[in-house]
Amino acid sequence: MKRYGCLSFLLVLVLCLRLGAWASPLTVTAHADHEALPASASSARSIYQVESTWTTADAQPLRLEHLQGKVQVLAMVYTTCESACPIIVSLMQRIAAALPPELHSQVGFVLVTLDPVRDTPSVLSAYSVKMRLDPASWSLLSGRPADVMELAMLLGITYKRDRSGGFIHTNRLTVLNKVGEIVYRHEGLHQDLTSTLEAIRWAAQY
Amino acid sequence: MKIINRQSWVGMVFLVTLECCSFLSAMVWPSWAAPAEDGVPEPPSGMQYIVGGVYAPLFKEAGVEQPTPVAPFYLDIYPVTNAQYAAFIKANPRWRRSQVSPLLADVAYLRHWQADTPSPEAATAVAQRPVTYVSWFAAHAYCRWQQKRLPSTAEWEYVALASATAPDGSKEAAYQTRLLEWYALPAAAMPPPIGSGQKNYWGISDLHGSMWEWVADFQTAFSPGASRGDAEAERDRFCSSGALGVSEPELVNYPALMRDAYRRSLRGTYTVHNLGFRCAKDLP
Amino acid sequence: MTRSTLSWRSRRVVPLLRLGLVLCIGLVIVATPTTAQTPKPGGTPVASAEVMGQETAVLTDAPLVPPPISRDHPTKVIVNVEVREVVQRLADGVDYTFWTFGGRVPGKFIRVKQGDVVELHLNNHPHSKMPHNIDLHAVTGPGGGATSTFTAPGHSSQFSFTALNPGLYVYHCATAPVGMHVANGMYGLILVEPREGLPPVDREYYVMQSEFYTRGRHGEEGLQSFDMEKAIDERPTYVVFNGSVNALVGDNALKANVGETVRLFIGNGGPNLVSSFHVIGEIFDRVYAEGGTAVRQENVQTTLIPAGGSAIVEFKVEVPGTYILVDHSILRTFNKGALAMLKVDGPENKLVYSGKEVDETYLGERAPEGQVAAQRIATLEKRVEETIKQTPAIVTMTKEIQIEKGKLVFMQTCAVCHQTNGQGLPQVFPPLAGSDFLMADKARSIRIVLRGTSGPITVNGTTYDSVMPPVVQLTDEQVAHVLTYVRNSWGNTGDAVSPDEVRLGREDHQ
Repeated sequence: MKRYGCLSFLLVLVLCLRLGAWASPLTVTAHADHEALPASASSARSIYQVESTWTTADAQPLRLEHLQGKVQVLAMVYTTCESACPIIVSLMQRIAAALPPELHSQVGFVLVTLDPVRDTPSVLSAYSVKMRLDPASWSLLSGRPADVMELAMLLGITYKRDRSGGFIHTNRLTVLNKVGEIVYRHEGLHQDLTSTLEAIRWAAQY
Repeated sequence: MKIINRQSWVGMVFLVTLECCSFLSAMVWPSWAAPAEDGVPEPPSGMQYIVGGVYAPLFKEAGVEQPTPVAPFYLDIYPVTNAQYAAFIKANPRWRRSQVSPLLADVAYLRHWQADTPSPEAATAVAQRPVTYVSWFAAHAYCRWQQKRLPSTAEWEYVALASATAPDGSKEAAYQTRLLEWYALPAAAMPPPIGSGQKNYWGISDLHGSMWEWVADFQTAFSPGASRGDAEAERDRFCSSGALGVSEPELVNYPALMRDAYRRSLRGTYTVHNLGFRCAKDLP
Repeated sequence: MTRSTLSWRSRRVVPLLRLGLVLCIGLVIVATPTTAQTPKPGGTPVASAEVMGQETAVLTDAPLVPPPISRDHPTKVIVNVEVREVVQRLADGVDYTFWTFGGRVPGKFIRVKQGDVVELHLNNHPHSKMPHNIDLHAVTGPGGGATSTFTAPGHSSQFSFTALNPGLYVYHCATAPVGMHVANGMYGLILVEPREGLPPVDREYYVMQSEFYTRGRHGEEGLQSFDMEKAIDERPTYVVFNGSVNALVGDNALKANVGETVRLFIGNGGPNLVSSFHVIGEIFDRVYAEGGTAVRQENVQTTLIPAGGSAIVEFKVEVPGTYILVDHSILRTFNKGALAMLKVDGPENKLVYSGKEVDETYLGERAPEGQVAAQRIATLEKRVEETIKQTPAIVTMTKEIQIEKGKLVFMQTCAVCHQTNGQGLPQVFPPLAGSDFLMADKARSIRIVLRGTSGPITVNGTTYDSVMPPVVQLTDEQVAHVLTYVRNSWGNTGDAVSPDEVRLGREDHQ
């Protein structure tokens, strides 16, 4: 029996090592920019510390700190954008659909318009209806142009007016943890959401 | 039968009173009574009115409207000083050197103060000099605190194009030479006190020869591309000589080119010894 | 223990355990990755298998060069480059605001080995006025590194590259306006040693030529500013080695000893001029043209160094003295400062170079003693002529020579009409063969060749009435030769005709 005891021990050891190796890539990618912080820690790295006030699609004022408590997937788009923005929104919808049920209440989606002059709250509201965005988890925000610039700067998003009155802009989904710190960036319009979902799952744990 | 009865007396008195009040208030507040002759309201204190115009950006880029129209606006006559910024810090302690978030300013923020508030000696030395070692977020927050905003690149460059005597000084060889000579000098330890230079055509001072200044949209100085890693964006980030794609290659405005290059090297959190700002404001 | 004594549980479990163990070991072998897959954000790229270890590069100021690399394998090299804007001497009494890599012009010399992974940190000093970056010609990749190192004052950038190609490469700043950044001194050299290293030499030095464009004239004192117009027009005010006039002169000269082999790593920062690099008093035994890795030429006096390029030259110093390094577009050396020195000490070698052996006055032809010599020469020459005339053999040989020469002239000039056999053309051109008209009067025949003739003449009883044009293209000697030939050919026999006689005939206006 001693022999079998040793064998079992070795078996368990080997299994643990394998599991450890499988688990580490996840931690590395999810720890994109910083060390793990419990949700109650100071928010020096939170983008919610900006003092701007925004208006939601149902014309209510909102300060970004109200987004705390949920993992947020945020993108900066505008409603008259023809090519890139619909893809961005569809990526976010796919993320929403791919989330396991227990995470639905823990993850929110935020669209901030780059064109607050044209995308008034009522325009955003109509857009939300058209794109079938569930108001329970989606926030569409309109703000002062200077505040839009400030938020874009924090997220590292650049944008610029083009000849047609629209914008050339960085295509990116930003995943914020429950205190508003950037934990992951999905760059460009590519369709592979594996790492993004992983990051959301990880951020939802804290 | 009385012709003017009580009601009619009351009515007349009421009308006359109304008329007198109207007349009196027109005397006291003439602008309310009739619009000003030129339609331009007085600029807020410390600012100048800049009439609208057009700014030709340095680089021709496909898909970007050229040239950029500049709507009328107000601009600070002088850059924001250390004294003014100290008042901002007092009212907003979260912007103190020891408190500021690393997301909003890098480690050299307000380095020249050496503490949350400068010592009395340091304060005297820097009070009337433009504040530097401030990040874009700090400048942005200050302007917002003043119910103002940062000027856009087009607005800043439009005003900076002027010489002392004309809105467009780019063809004045002597003036351009003087501007270029500033770049030949090593960086001074501190920018000179505000008002050291001449006011330009618009009545704005210290745009040249003092330091670099933040603008609201410095990050859009180049084409963002599909993502930050885009090769196109990277090409524009380091750029090449002034002749490439410049709107008027035979009249390259080297000082403007160098300002453009400088802006491309910045990030929002950067604080630099020779980088400050001034605020702008929309018309009411 | 026999099978029957084992419990029924053991009998089921044991095989399962065995199976489980095998499966797990199999899984471990199959699933373990061979190398680390996930790069850390901000970390260095995955290195190739042969790169081992890490070191920090030793950087030197010109003219010194870091020592040759002794390791035999590639490694990760950390290079810290600091950009500083400094006011320094450009020439005596002349200051300039240089933008530098490392505080001096040219910038630090970087020495790595082929295959090294270089992690380059570009640190822009907080007191700089301008943003800067770096483009290293040794880098294979966008901008040579410039796109990844654009740095504001008081900040730092980092990027890594593998030194794929060996050679001597220029690096420079590439921030707009690039011409201005380069013209202000932002260049240096990076040497990527080939895998087998460079052959050993006794001395290695780092020299970099470049130009400066200032608002003031050459030598005008004070702090000078950059003149963009002169730079665009390629009219430099200063052309110098190692960043200032006389940077390598006097006490700062390069040094070597007799018998040593010297290797110069020479760069040309430009921004505009190509250099014709020459060391006065030396010949380059070997030239690695344009800084490449093959010795392209040996025994070279002057080699070209392109702007933004380099060259490596090697030579053995045999004789002591001061050797001047120049740009052989020589006005740059004498009027703009492109002059450096190599001082060689050691024993003399008179055979290779003797120094001055004779020193006496030279008077030239106009001096009285010179005139006497000229007279003596004339007398001697006359005596030679008389001797020749008096000695029949010499005279005959001379005549034979004339006949040969005359034949050539005849065939080219006269045979057209008078035919190669001297027979002429009946009724048109008179014959020369056996011509009584020709042989009767030598002087007349000279006159006819020189001036031509027209009107009727009778030759051997036949009358010819044609025109012979003057043969103007012949010299006096050629006339003499051709007449000697015709007077001694096809049965004619006569004496020679001398050039003097022809000359007389020319002057004779009969």
